[in-house]
Amino acid sequence: MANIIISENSKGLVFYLAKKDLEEQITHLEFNSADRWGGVIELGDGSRYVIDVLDAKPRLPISLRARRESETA
Amino acid sequence: MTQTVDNIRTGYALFGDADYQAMLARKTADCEDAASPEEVKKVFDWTTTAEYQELNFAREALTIDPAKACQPLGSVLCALGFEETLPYVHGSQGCVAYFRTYFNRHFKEPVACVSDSMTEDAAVFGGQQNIFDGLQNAVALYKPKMVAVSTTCMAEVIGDDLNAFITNAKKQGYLDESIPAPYAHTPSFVGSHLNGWDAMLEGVLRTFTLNQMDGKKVGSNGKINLVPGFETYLGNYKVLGRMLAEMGVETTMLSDPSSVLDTPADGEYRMYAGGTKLADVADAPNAITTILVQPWQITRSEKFIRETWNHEIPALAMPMGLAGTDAFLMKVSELTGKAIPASLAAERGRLVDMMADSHTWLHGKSFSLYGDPDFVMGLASFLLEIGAEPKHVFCNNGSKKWKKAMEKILAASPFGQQAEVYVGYDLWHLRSLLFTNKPDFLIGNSYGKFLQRDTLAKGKEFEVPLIRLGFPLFDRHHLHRQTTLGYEGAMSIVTTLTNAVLEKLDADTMTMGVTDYAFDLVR
Amino acid sequence: MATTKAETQALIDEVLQVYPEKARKVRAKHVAPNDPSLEKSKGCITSNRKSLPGVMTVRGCAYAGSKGVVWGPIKDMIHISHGPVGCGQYSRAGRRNYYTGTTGVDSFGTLNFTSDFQEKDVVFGGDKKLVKLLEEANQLFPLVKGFSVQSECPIGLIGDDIEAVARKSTVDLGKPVIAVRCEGFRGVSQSLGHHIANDALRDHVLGNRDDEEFPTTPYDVAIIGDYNIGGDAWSSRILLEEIGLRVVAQWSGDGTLAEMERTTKVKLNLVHCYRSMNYISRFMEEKYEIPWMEYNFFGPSKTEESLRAIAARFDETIQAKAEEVIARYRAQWQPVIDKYKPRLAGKKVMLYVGGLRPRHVIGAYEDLGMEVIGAGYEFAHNDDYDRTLKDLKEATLLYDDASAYELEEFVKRLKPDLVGSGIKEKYVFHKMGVAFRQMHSWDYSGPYHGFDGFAIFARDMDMAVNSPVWSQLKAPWLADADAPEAAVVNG
Repeated sequence: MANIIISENSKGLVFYLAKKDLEEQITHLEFNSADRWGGVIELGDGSRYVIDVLDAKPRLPISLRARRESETA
Repeated sequence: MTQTVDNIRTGYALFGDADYQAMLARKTADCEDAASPEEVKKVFDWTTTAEYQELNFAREALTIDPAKACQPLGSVLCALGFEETLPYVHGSQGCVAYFRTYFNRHFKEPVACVSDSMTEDAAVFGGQQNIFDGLQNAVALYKPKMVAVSTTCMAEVIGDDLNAFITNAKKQGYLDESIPAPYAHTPSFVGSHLNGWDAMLEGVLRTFTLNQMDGKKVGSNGKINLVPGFETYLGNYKVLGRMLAEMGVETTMLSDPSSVLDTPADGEYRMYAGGTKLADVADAPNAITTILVQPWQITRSEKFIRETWNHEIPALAMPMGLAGTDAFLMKVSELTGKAIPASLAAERGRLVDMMADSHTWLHGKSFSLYGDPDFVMGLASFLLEIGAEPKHVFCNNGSKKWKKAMEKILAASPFGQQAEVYVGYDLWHLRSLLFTNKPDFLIGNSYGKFLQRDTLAKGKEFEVPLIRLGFPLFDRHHLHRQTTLGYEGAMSIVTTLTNAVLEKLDADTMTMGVTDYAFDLVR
Repeated sequence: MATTKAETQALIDEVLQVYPEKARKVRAKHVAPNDPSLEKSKGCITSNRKSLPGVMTVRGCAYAGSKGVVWGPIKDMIHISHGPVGCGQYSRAGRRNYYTGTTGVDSFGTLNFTSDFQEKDVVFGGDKKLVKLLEEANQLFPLVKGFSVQSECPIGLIGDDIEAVARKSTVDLGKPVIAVRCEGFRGVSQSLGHHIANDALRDHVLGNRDDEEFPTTPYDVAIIGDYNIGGDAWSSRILLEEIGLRVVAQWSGDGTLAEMERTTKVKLNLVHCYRSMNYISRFMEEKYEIPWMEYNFFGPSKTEESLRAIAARFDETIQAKAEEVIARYRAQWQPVIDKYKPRLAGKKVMLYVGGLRPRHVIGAYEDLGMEVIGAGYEFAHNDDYDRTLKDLKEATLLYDDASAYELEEFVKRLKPDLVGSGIKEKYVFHKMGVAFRQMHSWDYSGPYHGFDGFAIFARDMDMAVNSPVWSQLKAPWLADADAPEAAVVNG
């Protein structure tokens, strides 16, 4: 698990993993609606992470815990 | 909008403009929550009082602006003084960046020194793998004849064992057996840069002589060994050798970085230049004896030289000033049987002549001074010789024994009666004394400029001008090339001191129509 | 003369040849020909990894990043170098973080406060000494606004609880005392020190005044990541004020505790040194909804671009003023370029600096017609290289955490007209007869930021490149008859 920040820019959502200096556009978010937000994240570089699913879209940017999809939860 | 192409101004010249001044005033007023000018003035004035001095001297835990550095800085300087030797510091890499920078700023020269970049994992598992890789990489890149290893406090706190690590590095092929790798444990929480210099020298001497004493015979090479100690005046390395050469005495300087810290700009960078030949180190036990140029700094090496080489180390003070140099030369003459030549007697005479010429400006002038123990003692002694009066004699890294010896020297002279000796105190202590018991001048390294500024802030009549002698000297160029030892060095010191007095006198007397009746052409 | 990536790679391979195999493999990832087409630098160059032991890295440590860079310039606080005497001594007053104030009374920037650890402190711990010295400092310097405790290596190794001391002393002294765990062995360079310092500021400074009444305006901004070296933040601030913004805080050059605490009320954070202060900017974005943007005040092209981009975040009055300011300063910088560009055009530059400047100064050199043919960072991360690749030409030599050996060899082969790096490198290149400017300290000149700074920058680069000194390296009786140097000297 790592601390990440999700923020928004003109192209959409951005994923930032400080520890790896990884700052990537999010190409797909599993759940992205007003009442369900989170799940699997796909990044522009092809990597995939998972965050908890929230029951509302949060104010951005937000710090969250994420794991690589390959890691067990 | 203030720059014009024909008058491009930097720093204070630019920021003195009205728009910048207004901006800075706004910043202070609106954003900084700054104390009022009245309050600042009140507190400043308080810091100049005897009451503040008492509080200041009651400090037990806090050190402010100490005039000393840490051990490995000294070990690096010592290592630089040997033939094709790469100083290598085992521990955190930041330390080496600092050492190099510190010397770069003083000498205005490149300083080669590597670190083995220990980090968290090395803190847990020890730094052996770092030293393995470090030695291998360093030798591949920089091809030294010798690697001289010292430590940072990180390696010392975790208890890394250099002897075992270096032995293992050689056994396991990371370092060629043929490359000597003397070492010294140099914890920065013990002593100062002086101890690090001493420890590194002892490491070098040990490597080349401890198990090679068979066939060594004191006096058989007819030379005198000189141990310069932590010496940052390039001229001092040269002047000692020159004087002895004039006597027909051959010398071995045990660490001589004066070439590597003084290489030419001719298109080629020389990482290694000059330095004490490794063969000369091996041969050093065969010398008549070893003279410690700065005896108060040298303890471990002194013990080694005495016990292993069986040298009877003469009791001499640093050859600074007249009597110090006299005693040095006479001792060399006694040890070698070589007479002191007329050339040196004449040089001595020229120094006395200069002292006679200048004593009128120095007699009775008071000087506060600070620095390393031998430097301070030598300089204070020379001040007494010319009739000047040491006032505050500060040495953070002096011992109690040194203090007693210093006090004895001062007590023996009519010009030393008002002097006070302080060991273990820092420049913030000295600041108080400059206000409460003002000397005419302050002698020390570049950090003293802040004290001059502080005294001036109280008023022109309180200003104590700084005369730059010591280490480091960052804010004036090329002073490190000077000589301060021997008669030649004393000439340079007389010149520096006298002209500082005259500069001050000129500054005080050049107000047109007010003081300039005394703005004499001839002084 | 265009260079191909293959040519650059061949040069790299040749220089790295001397390394032992294990080290060569590591270094090979850190030295590369530039590929400006890449969006991400990862495919091109590796960074922010441990330095190899023994190679003479130029890097410093976490303490240097925290005390030396981020915390040290906060002028109305006392920053304790906690541990042995060296670190505080070596880092004292060397970085030229200009500030106004009465040093030793309400400002403390150039003083060295140290706990001067002795053996007994290492053996028995230094916490008691720390408590005592904080009391002493508070008594001797009553106007001090707070304290930071900058940990040196031993602190983290001997198990001291400086956080507990800080909490207790904060209460006892009634002023913030902030423990910073920036021991020099942490991380791979200064960079982790920046991050640790940012985190300490986040936890113990930001938010302290959130309940305070502080009159704000819609035009409040903070300058983040400008250490006011030679006055850089001042020659930047003046431009921001001239376009109508109000600078509430400077992080941290000439900064004060109050300014930094109040930063949570600004409308926009302006980030100059991204490397050392992006962390705190991201935090404020999330917690206080303060957007941040990077800007670049080196050279007129980038300064104009940045002023417009900053103004675009505000209303039309600011935008109009920005245009006025830009127009007005043209009259200042155009003559500078007219004078110096002919003297500098076509000259080649190699840069090796910290975590920001190798990319930020490219535009300023280009404004003078100069070309950057090699660039590298001491302690940058991927995201810094991401921001660098597109600003440099294809096949430009990139070197990350270069060793002294590599720099010397690259310079010998690429023969730049000017090297911009630090004091440790400076004199090597002087010996080699290569013009040099220190790009950390501005070689005791500056400021270089803003339009006023650019004039100085141009003057200084000309001074370096066109100094008559470089043509006199060879003694006339040793110089080849046809050597160009000799011709200049004799001509």
